[in-house]
Amino acid sequence: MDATSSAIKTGTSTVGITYDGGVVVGADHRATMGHFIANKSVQKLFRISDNIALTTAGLVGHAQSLSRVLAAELKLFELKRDMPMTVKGAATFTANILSGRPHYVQLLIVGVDSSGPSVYSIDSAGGSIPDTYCATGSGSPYMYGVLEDQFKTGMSKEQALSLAAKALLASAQRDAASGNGMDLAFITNETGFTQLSEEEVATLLSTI
Amino acid sequence: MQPSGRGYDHGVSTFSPDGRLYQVEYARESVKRGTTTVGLVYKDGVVLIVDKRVQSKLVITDSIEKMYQIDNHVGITTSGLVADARQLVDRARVQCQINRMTYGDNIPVSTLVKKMCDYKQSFTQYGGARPFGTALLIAGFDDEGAHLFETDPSGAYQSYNAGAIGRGKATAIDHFEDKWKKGMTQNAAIKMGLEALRESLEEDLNPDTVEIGCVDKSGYEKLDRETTLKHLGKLS
Repeated sequence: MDATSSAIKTGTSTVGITYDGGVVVGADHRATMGHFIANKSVQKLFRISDNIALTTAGLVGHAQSLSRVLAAELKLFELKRDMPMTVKGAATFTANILSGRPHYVQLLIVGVDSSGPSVYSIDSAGGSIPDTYCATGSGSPYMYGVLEDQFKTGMSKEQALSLAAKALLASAQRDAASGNGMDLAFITNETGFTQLSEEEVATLLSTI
Repeated sequence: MQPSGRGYDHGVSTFSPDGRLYQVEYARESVKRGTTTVGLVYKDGVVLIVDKRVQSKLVITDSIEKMYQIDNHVGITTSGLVADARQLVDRARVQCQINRMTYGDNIPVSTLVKKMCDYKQSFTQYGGARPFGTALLIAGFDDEGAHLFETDPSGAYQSYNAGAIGRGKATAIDHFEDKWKKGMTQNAAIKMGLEALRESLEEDLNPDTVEIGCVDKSGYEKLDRETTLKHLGKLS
């Protein structure tokens, strides 16, 4: 039995969606060990700077260690250069770490910068691919069903948040390794990283 | 008695017969010739003020840095060799992030000060490199509240209610010893700091080159030019 089959994995559904003026990002709360739900309130959505967020799927240990490193490196970059790192910069930086020492994770780096909103999906060996929307984790096939049907360019923040919630709801219904509620956040150049409170998420879900 | 050929000021790690380390004292001299910077503790935090003496009006003042954000909760002003200061600033920033990565928390201000001073001290005990010609005023806010520390090239440090480094140190300290009191407002502290700085300079405060930074429980913030000018305008 290899280490990855006995360790805690996040199974997971995470999603990043660009819209007109920003990006919406979300993740579920479930961690599993095989068929056992090991935790019902895992954080998989991380603010790593004011303009960039990270979502993680895969081994919790690898994901948390990466989020710590990225938050530290982005803060140092910002202090040294007096400007935030671009989303592309953060994605490339993360990919470089993973290509040097692969982590058992699938990541989204999402954010906004002077070139607008973007979403990068990053695989465990450091492959980094930009996209307009993306889903990761074991729940991603179910989420893509919703996204392929309903994503359109030029959505509003409210439409994008609603779409992210719908996608996460779909995977919570059909993927055994996803569920137990969700974190949702949006990032714009004006407001920076803003995470929805539990009440705001509940209100949003009641409208879907 | 001089040993044949060499004095006691060549190696950094050689004591003189009366127990002094000349290279360290020379490093302190470069601080004494440096820009004056002051800091003082007030009711809710710490204020740092520096006048970046600009030698020529051709210089773009924004390109000169004497006040640095180190982390969300720490700011530093420097006096002495600027190039040396930048190395220390880089190191301080990294130490803050190392603490956050290792323990998941902001570095306590006194821990950062000790780490920086351990580093400075190592350049007074091992040969092959010279000490840093830089003193730092380190202002920070942590679980214990607001702190102001002064560090010197030997690696010695002290915590102050109000402190100053650089060529105008003595005058500024005199001013603070006379005027500083516990529980001042931020505005009062900034005014007192500016007055101390003005007294310590040979010429008038240059409104374009004065920088003010504050650290309180919401973190470090360098005041923008407009606010800085407003504070300067309140001086009589």
